[in-house]
Amino acid sequence: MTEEYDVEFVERTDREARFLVRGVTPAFANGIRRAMLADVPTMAIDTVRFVENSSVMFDEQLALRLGLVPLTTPPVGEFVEDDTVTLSIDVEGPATAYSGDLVSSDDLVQPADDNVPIIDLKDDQRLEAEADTVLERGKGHAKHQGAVAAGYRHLQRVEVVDDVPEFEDEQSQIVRGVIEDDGELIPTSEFDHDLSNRYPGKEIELEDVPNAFVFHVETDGSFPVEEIVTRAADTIEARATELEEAVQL
Amino acid sequence: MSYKCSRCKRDVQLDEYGGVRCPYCGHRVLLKERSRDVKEVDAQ
Repeated sequence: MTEEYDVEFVERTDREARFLVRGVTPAFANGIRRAMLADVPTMAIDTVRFVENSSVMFDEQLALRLGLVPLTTPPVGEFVEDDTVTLSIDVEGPATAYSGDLVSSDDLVQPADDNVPIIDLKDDQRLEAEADTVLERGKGHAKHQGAVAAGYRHLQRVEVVDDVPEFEDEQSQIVRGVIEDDGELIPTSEFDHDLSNRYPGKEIELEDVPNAFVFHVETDGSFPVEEIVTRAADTIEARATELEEAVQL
Repeated sequence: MSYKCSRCKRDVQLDEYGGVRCPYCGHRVLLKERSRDVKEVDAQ
Protein backbone atom coordinates (compact mmCIF):
# COMPACT_ATOMS: atom_id res chain seq x y z
CA MET A 1 0.00 0.00 0.00
CA THR A 2 1.19 3.48 -0.75
CA GLU A 3 2.00 5.72 2.18
CA GLU A 4 -0.41 8.48 1.29
CA TYR A 5 -4.07 7.83 1.07
CA ASP A 6 -7.08 10.02 1.00
CA VAL A 7 -10.75 9.65 1.93
CA GLU A 8 -13.56 11.77 0.57
CA PHE A 9 -17.28 11.38 1.26
CA VAL A 10 -19.69 11.46 -1.67
CA GLU A 11 -22.89 10.79 0.27
CA ARG A 12 -23.23 10.52 3.99
CA THR A 13 -26.13 9.69 6.27
CA ASP A 14 -26.25 7.92 9.60
CA ARG A 15 -26.73 4.43 8.23
CA GLU A 16 -25.55 4.67 4.68
CA ALA A 17 -22.54 6.32 3.10
CA ARG A 18 -20.55 6.42 -0.07
CA PHE A 19 -16.94 7.48 0.10
CA LEU A 20 -13.92 7.55 -2.13
CA VAL A 21 -10.59 6.17 -1.00
CA ARG A 22 -7.52 6.96 -3.08
CA GLY A 23 -4.12 5.37 -2.83
CA VAL A 24 -5.03 1.88 -1.65
CA THR A 25 -4.44 -1.41 -3.42
CA PRO A 26 -7.36 -3.58 -4.57
CA ALA A 27 -6.26 -6.15 -1.98
CA PHE A 28 -6.57 -3.63 0.82
CA ALA A 29 -9.94 -2.39 -0.42
CA ASN A 30 -11.25 -5.94 -0.44
CA GLY A 31 -9.67 -6.56 2.96
CA ILE A 32 -11.62 -3.65 4.41
CA ARG A 33 -14.85 -4.90 2.82
CA ARG A 34 -14.38 -8.38 4.20
CA ALA A 35 -13.43 -7.10 7.63
CA MET A 36 -16.60 -4.98 7.75
CA LEU A 37 -18.71 -8.05 7.03
CA ALA A 38 -17.00 -10.67 9.13
CA ASP A 39 -14.69 -9.18 11.74
CA VAL A 40 -16.44 -6.32 13.48
CA PRO A 41 -18.03 -7.60 16.71
CA THR A 42 -21.72 -6.75 16.97
CA MET A 43 -24.34 -7.34 19.65
CA ALA A 44 -27.11 -9.85 18.96
CA ILE A 45 -29.44 -12.06 20.96
CA ASP A 46 -27.96 -15.49 21.48
CA THR A 47 -30.05 -17.39 24.02
CA VAL A 48 -33.71 -16.88 24.82
CA ARG A 49 -35.54 -18.13 27.91
CA PHE A 50 -39.27 -18.49 27.30
CA VAL A 51 -41.43 -18.01 30.34
CA GLU A 52 -44.63 -18.12 28.37
CA ASN A 53 -45.28 -18.56 24.69
CA SER A 54 -48.86 -19.26 23.79
CA SER A 55 -48.43 -17.81 20.30
CA VAL A 56 -48.80 -19.86 17.16
CA MET A 57 -45.07 -20.18 16.62
CA PHE A 58 -42.55 -22.50 18.22
CA ASP A 59 -40.05 -21.17 20.75
CA GLU A 60 -37.18 -22.01 18.42
CA GLN A 61 -38.63 -20.00 15.54
CA LEU A 62 -39.20 -16.98 17.76
CA ALA A 63 -35.68 -17.30 19.15
CA LEU A 64 -34.31 -17.14 15.61
CA ARG A 65 -36.38 -14.06 14.86
CA LEU A 66 -35.26 -12.38 18.07
CA GLY A 67 -31.66 -13.20 17.22
CA LEU A 68 -31.91 -11.30 13.95
CA VAL A 69 -33.13 -8.06 15.55
CA PRO A 70 -30.34 -5.48 15.10
CA LEU A 71 -29.10 -4.07 18.40
CA THR A 72 -26.97 -1.02 19.03
CA THR A 73 -23.42 -1.97 19.87
CA PRO A 74 -21.63 -0.20 22.73
CA PRO A 75 -18.42 1.78 22.13
CA VAL A 76 -15.10 -0.05 22.07
CA GLY A 77 -13.85 -0.88 25.54
CA GLU A 78 -17.26 -0.94 27.22
CA PHE A 79 -17.68 -4.64 26.54
CA VAL A 80 -15.40 -7.47 25.56
CA GLU A 81 -16.36 -10.40 23.39
CA ASP A 82 -18.66 -12.86 25.21
CA ASP A 83 -20.01 -10.27 27.70
CA THR A 84 -23.80 -10.48 28.00
CA VAL A 85 -26.67 -8.05 28.36
CA THR A 86 -30.21 -9.20 29.11
CA LEU A 87 -33.30 -7.99 27.28
CA SER A 88 -36.84 -8.90 28.17
CA ILE A 89 -40.12 -8.86 26.30
CA ASP A 90 -43.66 -9.22 27.60
CA VAL A 91 -46.53 -8.69 25.17
CA GLU A 92 -50.11 -9.80 25.57
CA GLY A 93 -52.52 -10.25 22.67
CA PRO A 94 -54.36 -8.99 20.77
CA ALA A 95 -51.27 -7.07 19.68
CA THR A 96 -48.18 -7.39 17.58
CA ALA A 97 -44.91 -7.84 19.40
CA TYR A 98 -42.32 -5.48 17.93
CA SER A 99 -38.60 -5.17 18.54
CA GLY A 100 -39.44 -1.92 20.33
CA ASP A 101 -41.12 -3.98 23.07
CA LEU A 102 -37.74 -5.38 24.07
CA VAL A 103 -36.62 -3.80 27.34
CA SER A 104 -32.89 -3.71 27.87
CA SER A 105 -30.99 -3.90 31.13
CA ASP A 106 -28.29 -1.66 29.64
CA ASP A 107 -28.86 1.67 27.88
CA LEU A 108 -25.95 1.03 25.53
CA VAL A 109 -27.62 -2.04 24.05
CA GLN A 110 -31.03 -1.24 22.58
CA PRO A 111 -32.94 -2.42 19.52
CA ALA A 112 -31.66 -0.32 16.61
CA ASP A 113 -35.17 -0.15 15.13
CA ASP A 114 -38.41 -0.15 17.08
CA ASN A 115 -40.60 -1.41 14.28
CA VAL A 116 -39.32 -4.89 13.47
CA PRO A 117 -42.35 -7.20 13.88
CA ILE A 118 -41.66 -10.34 15.88
CA ILE A 119 -45.06 -11.99 16.03
CA ASP A 120 -48.72 -11.19 15.77
CA LEU A 121 -50.57 -12.25 18.93
CA LYS A 122 -54.30 -12.99 18.95
CA ASP A 123 -56.71 -13.01 21.94
CA ASP A 124 -55.37 -14.79 25.01
CA GLN A 125 -51.95 -15.29 23.48
CA ARG A 126 -48.95 -14.07 25.32
CA LEU A 127 -45.24 -13.89 24.80
CA GLU A 128 -42.96 -13.48 27.77
CA ALA A 129 -39.27 -14.11 27.38
CA GLU A 130 -35.83 -13.08 28.47
CA ALA A 131 -32.94 -12.93 26.07
CA ASP A 132 -29.17 -12.78 26.51
CA THR A 133 -27.12 -10.88 24.00
CA VAL A 134 -23.50 -11.51 23.19
CA LEU A 135 -20.83 -9.55 21.36
CA GLU A 136 -19.55 -11.65 18.50
CA ARG A 137 -18.28 -11.48 14.94
CA GLY A 138 -20.06 -11.87 11.63
CA LYS A 139 -17.85 -14.88 10.94
CA GLY A 140 -19.81 -16.91 13.46
CA HIS A 141 -23.35 -15.96 12.49
CA ALA A 142 -24.87 -13.42 10.10
CA LYS A 143 -26.82 -11.81 12.95
CA HIS A 144 -23.50 -10.40 14.18
CA GLN A 145 -22.86 -8.72 10.86
CA GLY A 146 -22.83 -4.96 11.30
CA ALA A 147 -22.60 -4.04 7.62
CA VAL A 148 -25.63 -5.28 5.72
CA ALA A 149 -24.44 -4.01 2.37
CA ALA A 150 -20.78 -3.26 1.88
CA GLY A 151 -19.10 -3.08 -1.46
CA TYR A 152 -16.89 -0.99 -3.66
CA ARG A 153 -16.37 -0.06 -7.28
CA HIS A 154 -13.55 1.53 -9.13
CA LEU A 155 -13.78 5.26 -9.50
CA GLN A 156 -14.23 5.92 -13.23
CA ARG A 157 -12.80 8.84 -15.12
CA VAL A 158 -14.79 10.30 -17.99
CA GLU A 159 -13.16 11.83 -20.99
CA VAL A 160 -14.91 13.50 -23.90
CA VAL A 161 -13.07 12.29 -26.99
CA ASP A 162 -15.16 13.51 -29.87
CA ASP A 163 -18.61 14.46 -31.09
CA VAL A 164 -20.96 11.72 -32.21
CA PRO A 165 -20.93 11.64 -36.08
CA GLU A 166 -23.79 13.67 -37.53
CA PHE A 167 -25.94 10.88 -38.97
CA GLU A 168 -25.33 8.27 -36.30
CA ASP A 169 -27.86 7.45 -33.61
CA GLU A 170 -26.82 8.22 -30.11
CA GLN A 171 -26.21 5.12 -28.04
CA SER A 172 -26.93 5.04 -24.36
CA GLN A 173 -23.94 4.25 -22.22
CA ILE A 174 -24.85 2.81 -18.86
CA VAL A 175 -22.47 3.17 -15.95
CA ARG A 176 -23.00 2.67 -12.24
CA GLY A 177 -21.09 4.05 -9.31
CA VAL A 178 -19.33 7.37 -9.16
CA ILE A 179 -17.58 9.12 -12.02
CA GLU A 180 -14.85 11.72 -11.95
CA ASP A 181 -15.10 14.61 -14.35
CA ASP A 182 -12.36 17.23 -14.07
CA GLY A 183 -11.79 16.31 -10.44
CA GLU A 184 -15.49 16.59 -9.64
CA LEU A 185 -17.19 13.50 -8.18
CA ILE A 186 -20.65 12.74 -9.55
CA PRO A 187 -22.81 9.77 -8.50
CA THR A 188 -24.24 8.18 -11.65
CA SER A 189 -27.74 8.32 -10.18
CA GLU A 190 -27.69 12.07 -10.91
CA PHE A 191 -27.99 11.39 -14.64
CA ASP A 192 -29.99 8.17 -14.47
CA HIS A 193 -26.81 6.05 -14.87
CA ASP A 194 -26.67 6.96 -18.54
CA LEU A 195 -23.69 8.97 -19.79
CA SER A 196 -25.57 10.03 -22.92
CA ASN A 197 -27.87 12.09 -20.67
CA ARG A 198 -24.96 14.00 -19.23
CA TYR A 199 -22.93 14.37 -22.39
CA PRO A 200 -25.46 14.50 -25.23
CA GLY A 201 -23.91 14.23 -28.67
CA LYS A 202 -20.47 13.42 -27.35
CA GLU A 203 -18.31 10.38 -27.66
CA ILE A 204 -17.13 9.35 -24.24
CA GLU A 205 -14.30 7.23 -22.99
CA LEU A 206 -14.34 5.70 -19.54
CA GLU A 207 -11.39 4.36 -17.65
CA ASP A 208 -10.84 3.05 -14.14
CA VAL A 209 -8.80 5.36 -11.97
CA PRO A 210 -5.99 3.20 -10.57
CA ASN A 211 -6.10 2.59 -6.82
CA ALA A 212 -9.21 4.69 -6.26
CA PHE A 213 -12.25 2.90 -4.86
CA VAL A 214 -15.72 4.13 -4.10
CA PHE A 215 -17.13 2.25 -1.14
CA HIS A 216 -20.82 1.99 -0.52
CA VAL A 217 -21.57 0.91 3.02
CA GLU A 218 -24.87 0.44 4.77
CA THR A 219 -25.12 -0.62 8.41
CA ASP A 220 -27.93 -2.39 10.24
CA GLY A 221 -28.05 0.40 12.84
CA SER A 222 -25.56 -1.20 15.22
CA PHE A 223 -23.31 1.80 14.74
CA PRO A 224 -22.77 4.64 12.26
CA VAL A 225 -20.93 3.95 9.00
CA GLU A 226 -17.72 5.74 10.08
CA GLU A 227 -17.58 3.55 13.15
CA ILE A 228 -17.86 0.28 11.26
CA VAL A 229 -15.17 1.30 8.79
CA THR A 230 -12.72 2.37 11.47
CA ARG A 231 -13.43 -0.72 13.54
CA ALA A 232 -12.86 -2.88 10.47
CA ALA A 233 -9.52 -1.17 9.89
CA ASP A 234 -8.66 -1.75 13.56
CA THR A 235 -9.35 -5.48 13.29
CA ILE A 236 -7.05 -5.70 10.26
CA GLU A 237 -4.36 -3.89 12.21
CA ALA A 238 -4.85 -6.16 15.22
CA ARG A 239 -4.52 -9.26 13.06
CA ALA A 240 -1.47 -7.89 11.28
CA THR A 241 0.18 -7.17 14.64
CA GLU A 242 -0.70 -10.65 15.83
CA LEU A 243 0.88 -12.17 12.72
CA GLU A 244 3.98 -10.02 13.10
CA GLU A 245 4.43 -11.18 16.68
CA ALA A 246 3.79 -14.79 15.75
CA VAL A 247 6.50 -14.90 13.08
CA GLN A 248 9.19 -13.24 15.19
CA LEU A 249 12.07 -15.60 15.72
CA MET B 1 -48.89 -35.11 33.42
CA SER B 2 -51.65 -32.65 32.89
CA TYR B 3 -53.89 -32.80 29.86
CA LYS B 4 -56.92 -30.96 28.69
CA CYS B 5 -59.97 -32.63 27.23
CA SER B 6 -60.54 -31.37 23.70
CA ARG B 7 -64.37 -31.59 24.05
CA CYS B 8 -65.20 -30.31 27.52
CA LYS B 9 -61.95 -28.26 27.91
CA ARG B 10 -61.49 -29.47 31.48
CA ASP B 11 -58.14 -30.31 33.02
CA VAL B 12 -57.58 -34.05 33.23
CA GLN B 13 -55.10 -36.00 35.31
CA LEU B 14 -54.26 -39.35 33.76
CA ASP B 15 -53.47 -42.38 35.89
CA GLU B 16 -52.24 -45.80 34.85
CA TYR B 17 -55.64 -47.53 35.21
CA GLY B 18 -58.15 -45.28 33.50
CA GLY B 19 -56.62 -45.35 30.01
CA VAL B 20 -56.78 -42.38 27.70
CA ARG B 21 -60.24 -41.03 28.41
CA CYS B 22 -61.74 -37.95 29.98
CA PRO B 23 -63.35 -38.89 33.35
CA TYR B 24 -65.96 -36.12 32.97
CA CYS B 25 -67.30 -36.60 29.47
CA GLY B 26 -65.67 -39.80 28.27
CA HIS B 27 -64.02 -38.13 25.29
CA ARG B 28 -60.90 -39.89 24.10
CA VAL B 29 -59.03 -36.93 22.64
CA LEU B 30 -56.82 -35.19 25.18
CA LEU B 31 -54.43 -32.32 24.55
CA LYS B 32 -51.17 -32.07 26.40
CA GLU B 33 -50.64 -28.75 28.15
CA ARG B 34 -47.40 -26.84 27.79
CA SER B 35 -45.20 -27.26 30.85
CA ARG B 36 -44.77 -24.24 33.08
CA ASP B 37 -41.00 -24.31 33.30
CA VAL B 38 -38.87 -21.74 31.61
CA LYS B 39 -37.45 -23.11 28.38
CA GLU B 40 -34.06 -22.00 27.16
CA VAL B 41 -33.45 -21.92 23.43
CA ASP B 42 -30.35 -21.04 21.42
CA ALA B 43 -30.90 -18.50 18.68
CA GLN B 44 -28.61 -20.20 16.20
